[in-house]
Order: sequence, then C-alpha cells, then structure tokens
Amino acid sequence: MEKSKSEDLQDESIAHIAFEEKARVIVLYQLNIMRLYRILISCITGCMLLSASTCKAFLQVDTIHSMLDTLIVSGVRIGATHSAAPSQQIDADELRRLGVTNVGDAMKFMSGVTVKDYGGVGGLKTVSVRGMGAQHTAVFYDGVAIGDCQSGQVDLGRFSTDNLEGVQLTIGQGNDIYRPARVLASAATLFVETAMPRSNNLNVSLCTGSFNTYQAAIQCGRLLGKGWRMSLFTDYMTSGGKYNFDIENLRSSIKGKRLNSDIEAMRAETSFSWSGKRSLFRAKLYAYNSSQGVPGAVIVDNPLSSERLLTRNLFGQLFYELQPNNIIRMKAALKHNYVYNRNKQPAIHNCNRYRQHETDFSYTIAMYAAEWLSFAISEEAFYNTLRTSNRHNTMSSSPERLTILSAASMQLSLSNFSATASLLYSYASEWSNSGEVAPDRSRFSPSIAVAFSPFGKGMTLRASYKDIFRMPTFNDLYYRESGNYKLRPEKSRMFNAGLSYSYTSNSILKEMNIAMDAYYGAVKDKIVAVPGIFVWKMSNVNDVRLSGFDTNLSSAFAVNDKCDFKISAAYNYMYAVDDTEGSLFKGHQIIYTPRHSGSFAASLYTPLLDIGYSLVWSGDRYRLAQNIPSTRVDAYYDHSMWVSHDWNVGRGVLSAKIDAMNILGTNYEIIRYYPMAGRSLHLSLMLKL
Amino acid sequence: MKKRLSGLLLLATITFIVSCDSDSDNTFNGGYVTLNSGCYIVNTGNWEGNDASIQYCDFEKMLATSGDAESNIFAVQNGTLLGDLAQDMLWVNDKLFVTLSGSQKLEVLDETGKRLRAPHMYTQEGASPRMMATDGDYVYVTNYDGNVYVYDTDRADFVKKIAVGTRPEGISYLDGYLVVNNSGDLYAYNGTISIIELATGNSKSIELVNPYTTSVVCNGEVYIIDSGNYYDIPSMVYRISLQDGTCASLGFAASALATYENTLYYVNNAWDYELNGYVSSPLYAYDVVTGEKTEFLSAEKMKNVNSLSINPDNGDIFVGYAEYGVLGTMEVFSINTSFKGVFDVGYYTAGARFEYK
Repeated sequence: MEKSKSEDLQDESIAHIAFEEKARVIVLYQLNIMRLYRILISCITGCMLLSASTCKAFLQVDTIHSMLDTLIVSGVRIGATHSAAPSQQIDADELRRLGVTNVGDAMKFMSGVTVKDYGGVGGLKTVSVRGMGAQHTAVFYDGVAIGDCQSGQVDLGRFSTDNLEGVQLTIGQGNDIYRPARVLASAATLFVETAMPRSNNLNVSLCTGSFNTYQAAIQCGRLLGKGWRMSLFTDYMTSGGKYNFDIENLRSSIKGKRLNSDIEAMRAETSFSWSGKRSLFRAKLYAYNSSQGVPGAVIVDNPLSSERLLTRNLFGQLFYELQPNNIIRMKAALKHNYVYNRNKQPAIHNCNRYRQHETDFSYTIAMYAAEWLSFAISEEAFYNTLRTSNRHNTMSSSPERLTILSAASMQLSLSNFSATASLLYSYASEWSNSGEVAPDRSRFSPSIAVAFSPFGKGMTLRASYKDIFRMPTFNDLYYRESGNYKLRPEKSRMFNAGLSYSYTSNSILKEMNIAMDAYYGAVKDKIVAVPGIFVWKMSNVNDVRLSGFDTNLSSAFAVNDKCDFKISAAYNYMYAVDDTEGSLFKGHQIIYTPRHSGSFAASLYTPLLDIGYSLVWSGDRYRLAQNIPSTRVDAYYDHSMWVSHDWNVGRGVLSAKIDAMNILGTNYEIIRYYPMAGRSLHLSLMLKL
Repeated sequence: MKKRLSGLLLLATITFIVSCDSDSDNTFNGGYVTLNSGCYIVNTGNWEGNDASIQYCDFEKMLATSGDAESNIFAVQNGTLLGDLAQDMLWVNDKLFVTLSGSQKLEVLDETGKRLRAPHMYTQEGASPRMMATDGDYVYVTNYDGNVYVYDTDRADFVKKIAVGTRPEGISYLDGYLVVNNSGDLYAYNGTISIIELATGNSKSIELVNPYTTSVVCNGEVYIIDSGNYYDIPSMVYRISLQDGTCASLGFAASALATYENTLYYVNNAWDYELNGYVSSPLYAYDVVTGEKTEFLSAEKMKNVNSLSINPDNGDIFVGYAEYGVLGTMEVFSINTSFKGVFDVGYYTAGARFEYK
C-alpha cells in the first residue's frame, strides 16, 4: 500500500529531526574528541608563536611565482627527488615520450603501482599501490581531491594527458608538511596537475588511430593582465573500440571481435588564476560527459554484450593561497563535485542510476618558525551523498557522510637532515533517511619521515612510517543485499626505507637519477565479499602482509650538441600475501598483484626525428585468492614505439607523431578474460601557436 | 544406465587426481572409470571466470574427479572450457543437461561429458537460463526472459516455451504440473509462484516475496524456499498446493533444502552481523507426514554450506561448502549420519546430481 502524502511529510520531518539530533550528537562528540587534538594543536601553535617571536625570519623570501612552481610538477624525472618518501613524477615531456594518452596508462611506468586495466579505449583503469587496493590511493586534480564515495576508486583512464603539466605519485609520508589533510589520510597520493599558460598560446591537436578512434582538442591560454591568467581546454573523443582478439581456451582458443566497446566522450575545463606578490587565486570548472559500452569479460560461447554506461561529472573548485610574510604561508580550497552514472543492464532487465555529491573544504597553514623548524596544521571536511533513482533502489539506504580530517605536522630541517612528524585525526559520521547506518568512526594516525643527505646534495637516505585507515565505501556498506553497515575500516601500516641519488653535469651524462626503496607493511580488516547461497556479503575477513622493493633509474645523455638520449627503467618486487589467521590460502599472493614487474623507456632526440621505445612488463599474477595453476594469469609484455618531428610554421610549431602500440600484437590480459587490443597505430598532429 | 562405460581413458589419465588431501589413495589409477555407481557434481564457478565445471563422483571410493575448470570432465573431453556460471544440471536418458547463465546456453552432453549439443538461449535483450526439471521426456528450463523453455530429449531440440512470471528460477515437475519460482523484479521482492497444468496450459499464481532457486518434490508435494529480502523478512519454506493454487508456510527458515523419501533435510545459513560472518544452523530432518523435526547433524559440522543434495537410492547426503576465491569441498554423510567421505569440488558448487529414474 502506498503511503499518503502526510505520512511522507511525517517521515521527512522525523528524518529531519533525526538529522538535527544526529548533528548535535556529532558536534558534542567532536567537541569531546577534539579536546585532545586541540591540546596538541595548542602546543604546536604555542611553539610556533614562541619561535616566531624569538627568531628572525629565516625563510628566504618567496615570490608568488616560486610558490606556483611548488604547486605544479615540472620537468622532474622519474624517481628523482630527495623526498623522505618515494615520490615519482612524470612531466609533460615525459608523458609524450612514453606515448601515453591517459593518466591510467602513465601510471604503468611508475614503481610499486599495479594498474588494473580492463582494456579497450574506454576501459576502466584503477591503480593499487603496493598491493593495498585502489581505495588507498587519493587522487588530486589541480590540488583538490577527486573522491568517489560509492566505489572508492577513480577511473584514471578518464583523464587525458593532453593538457597536463605532469603527474606525481607519492607513496607513504613525505617531508612536505604543506599539504591538505587528505594527503596525510591516504597511503599514497596521486597529483594530476594541468598546465596554466605562461604566455598567450593556442594549441590545436587532431588524432586518429586504430579501431575508428578520432580525437580533437583545443587548448587556449591567455594572460589577461594584472596577474590574471586564463586557460580553456576542451576535447572530444570517439572510438568504435572494436578489435579482434584471440585468447587461449585449453586446446582451442576463443576468437572474436570485442563488441560493445565504443565510447564517445567530451570534456571541457576552464581555469582562471591570479597571482599577486604574495597571494595566488585559482578557479576551475570541469565538465565531462561520456557514453560508452561496457563489453564485460570474454565469456565462453556468449558473444553478446549489451551493458551501457553514461557518466557525467561536473566539478568546480576555488583555491586561494597567501603568504602574508616570510614566516606564514596558508592556503584554502573549496570544491563541489557531482557525478552521475547510469548503468543499463538489459541482460538482467535492470538500469541503475547513481548521483554522488561531494562538497569539500580544506585549509592548510604552515609556519616557518626558523630555518630549521616549521609547523603546519591542516583541516579538511567533506560531505558526501549518494542517491539512486532506479526503479528498485539498489542501495539499502540513502547514505550521507561527513568526514573531518585534522592534522598537525612538525618538521626539523637541517642542512643535510630533515625529520617530519604528523598526527592525523580522522572522524566520520553517517546518516540516512532510511535503513541502518554505520556507526561513527574516529582514529588518530601518526606518521613520521626522516631524510638524510650524508654528502650534501646528491644522495639522500630516507625512512618513513605511516599509519592509515580507509572508510568502507558506500557500496561496501549499503549496496542492497551485499552491503554490510557494520564493516570496520581497513587499517594499513607501511614502513619504507630507501635512498635516492641524483647527478647532473655538463658532460655526456647530463643527468642520472636512481631511487631504491624497500618496504614492509600490512593491511588489517581488508574488506572482501563472502559467498552465501543467496547473496554475497561484504566482510572484514582478510589481513594482508606486504613487503618488497622498488628500483628506478633514469638518465639523460648529450650525444652531441643536437642529439639527446634518455632512458628510464624500473623494477619492482612485491610480496603481497594473505595473512589471515586460519585462512585456507594464507601465504598466497593476493589477486592481480605481480610479484615481479617493471618498465623501460628509451628515446633519442635528433634534429631529423625524435624516436622512442617503451616496454611495460608484468610477471604472472593470480585472479583468485587461491594460487593454483588454473587461476594464474600469464605474464605480459607491452612494447610500443613512437616517432615524431616538429616543424616551425610561422610563429608556431607543428608536431606530428606516430605511436605504434603493443607492436607484438598480443591480446595479453591484465584482468583475466579482458583481452587488450592488439597492435594499433595512433597518428597525432598538434599545432602550437 | 547400468552399463559399464569405457572410452574414458583420457578422462581417467588426465583428470583423476582427486584432492580431499594429499594422500595418494585419492588418485584413481585405473584406465577407465565405471559409471554404474556414481553421480555428477556441478560447480557454478566465478562470475566472468569461465570456470564452471562438472565432476564425477565414484560412490565406491567416495572420491571425485577434478573440479578445476581446466581439468574437469567437460574440459578433458571437449578440450574447451565449460563456460561461465553453471546453475543447474540434470541427468536424464543417458544425457547430461547443464544450464550456464553467464554463457547463456544449455549444454547437452553424453555421460562421459562429451558435448552433443549446446543450444544458445540468449537474445539481444539478454536471457539467462537457470534451473531445470524433467518428466523423463522433456527438460523444462527456466529463463530470465520470463519463460520456461521445453526441450524434447528425443528430438534433441527446444519445442516450445511457456510464459511464466518475472525472472523465473527454481522449477519442479509433478503429475502433469510445472511449479515455477518467479523471483520477481530485481530488489523488488515481488516474487510469485506459477502453477502450470501442462495438458491445458492453465496456470495459477501465488504471491510471495522472493522464491528462489530451490524447488523439490517430496511425498507427492512441492516444497520451495522463499529467500525473503535478506533484511527483515527471513527465508521460509513453503508447501505448494497444486490443486488450490495456495501455499502454506512450514514455519522454518532454510537456505538449502533436499529431500529423501518423506523427509526434508535443510540447513539455514544466515548472516550474523555480530559475528561478522555466515552462520549455519544444524542440518535438520523434517518429516512432512508427521511434522516432526529432528537435528540430523550439529551446527559445528556445518561450515559455510553452499549446497545440499541427497542420493535418492540410499539417502547419502552430499553437503557442499564454499569459501571466497578458493575451490570448495564436499562432505558425504550416510542416512544414519555417519561420515562417508570428503573431496574437493569446484568453485561454489551447486551440488550433486543423480540419475533421473
């Protein structure tokens, strides 16, 4: 029987009262639990003031332009930092050199990273750093977190590399304390930074490639005067996505054409920035719309695929940074992110629609009290909602979550030594107008990092420890039938020790960077689905033990005055095994995590042509928790080559590039039964004015 | 099917590594296997894993062939994977019928596992063959397109389809009637039972919540499990009256149900939020004539029960267990509760299947 309107109103008012009551409880709880934190903050603030009053301003005067430079990743080679934590950057030139078109593909060249790639032009691409799972990596787009409260993972294939300044991945706790609190709250952080113009420019690019792929992009940058700059970027991409595959099926094979893998996507983003002598303002609006097929796995004897996915993403963000004097530096950001997904599944007569909203506010204040001492506090609050509007609600409730992150950090920095300590307080509260909700959660998470350069510049020894937990996603908690609102957060701990070495000279060997890191960690209460006869249920049943090491090398050679040669290589060993007491498969490598993996890239730059080669390699993996021959997924190698040339055209430069990807043409599988496209060609033209 | 079959040399030499533990006794060493005393086991496999499998269990040794997707009897006989998500299996007229909802097909095999036919059951709109019943001449297959497909075992083809309710699942044949569990719209819990008189095509409908895959015939009546809504409506066992078109609750919850003579054997495996896991009830025996309920096996012996099957000839009870991401196991108990054997099975076993007589 349908409810009357008055009953609905009554329900609403009850829900409203419940919400207000909940909010009051949250505030009171916060007041109590924050007391300890405030004592800590007070101590730090006291130290800051004392130091500030007694010390001269040791901080070198920063211009706002150098501040901007710290916000973007520019020209840094893979593994070439002196951070207290492994930090890898790929700048715009490197991205081009590697022949990648989206951030997901770029991540395959980073150490300690496993990319789950479901293949195809629009296939989902997520990253798992050191076996911890995609939900443990926070993704920041132009400094503001891109969250996904429903699944906890971000599709990195959605972010084109065309307009990027670079990407940076930091694993664990670095020695940069001037970061948003969400950086401290994640086991790994990926920064994706778009380019802001340094002069008036106009870039137009056209691409075409295999599988009926066409792409066009326009980027326009303008200096508007009085410190204002504007950037507009839009691109459109369409691909039929059909490619032949041939994968093993015992004594025969499954041959066919990948169907329902078309995609049409459009993206537009505009950014404004203003930089004064001591302050910086940025505003950004981003819109993305895509419609694509979801081909699913290759299924024996069933070629049909009909699932469709529509994605709309709109976000806007404001960022302000101020350096009022040589001691204080502060920044704040406000963002709202909206994501709409419509997932049609004709095979089971179902259509799911999901709407997510996230409003996020953060601020960070750093005080450089002395040349050797600095402090920072950062707080971030974000509010998430998830609604479904399908015929039969696939979520058992309409969840909302408020998360508050508060962090205090301190850094000692001597000429060749730095030590950083942080304490993060996380608090999350949820409510809903129907159904059960998860209880409130809070936790203090410490982290510490030290870096030592025994010979001044050049070599740095480092060690760090980070303790983090991640909240279950809304799917984990509230997906109808399988969701479990009593899930505990996943907890992870990671120790890292390593060294980095960099060398630059004017000789033939212009530059060399080496980084080696070993790590040990654990994930407790890992969330997995437990099978039942009727339904599977999400549960905290697994513990995972992690250890391994990552190595990186990159070098640049000046062959002669006009020719440069660059190489980079990475090798990773990852022992990531189930460590659950009483588990039937304790000691087995966790799913889709290769024990050995690596990459290699080489490029030669000559006046005639630029030419490059890259290899991504992964050892055997297992598709299920039980490591037996039939669950093993074979190793794969992806070789690609590119050639390009630039011509001066009037005041501009015309670049032509041909990429030959997966030149061996194998339909290797990163995810079992999701064959990658075979050999493909990609031709791109770009005019820079 | 009382003949001794040979010609399973390949099957025997390659696949008969049986695996309840590492004892060498668990390996079949003969050059062939006898099929005059055994049953089949069908394993659903993982979603998008193409790792459904079929095993043969020898009653004498109480051991089974490999449940692995790459070395089960279908794979060995045909050199190809069985497919994705085996839901049900029947053994009728010297043939095996297997429904695969992921591969959207009906596999028709001979008793050695060799493929005879594999008719597709998909349309552009999608379909999903689920459970089966038989009267000895026809095999009735429920399909998510809202129909029961009728396969003539003599003509070796589908001969007609019968419209039933939304997303039909479990099905039973009894005395010229089909009783079909229609699970209803996704997450709507608006399931129904369709009772169809085959001779006339007349049908009756009973409203329930979520009648799912289980439908059995016991003592001349049909019993089904309604799964409830997994939240505040618990699962429930119902007796279906063919003549009246009504159902009656037996007053107990179950997740798996099997029958032998006048007795229903059932276990309830329900999620316990406090313990953060599935918890099984004891295995109960319920006499449908007297209404008497007794504990057959204690709850300690029931782990994560995924299937329950009973040999109609002697009452041996086959209990299948499943864990996440790992091959399952199956234990066998005699009708007097004594333990008879344990062996490995494939992923998420749907249970043992015995010859239709």
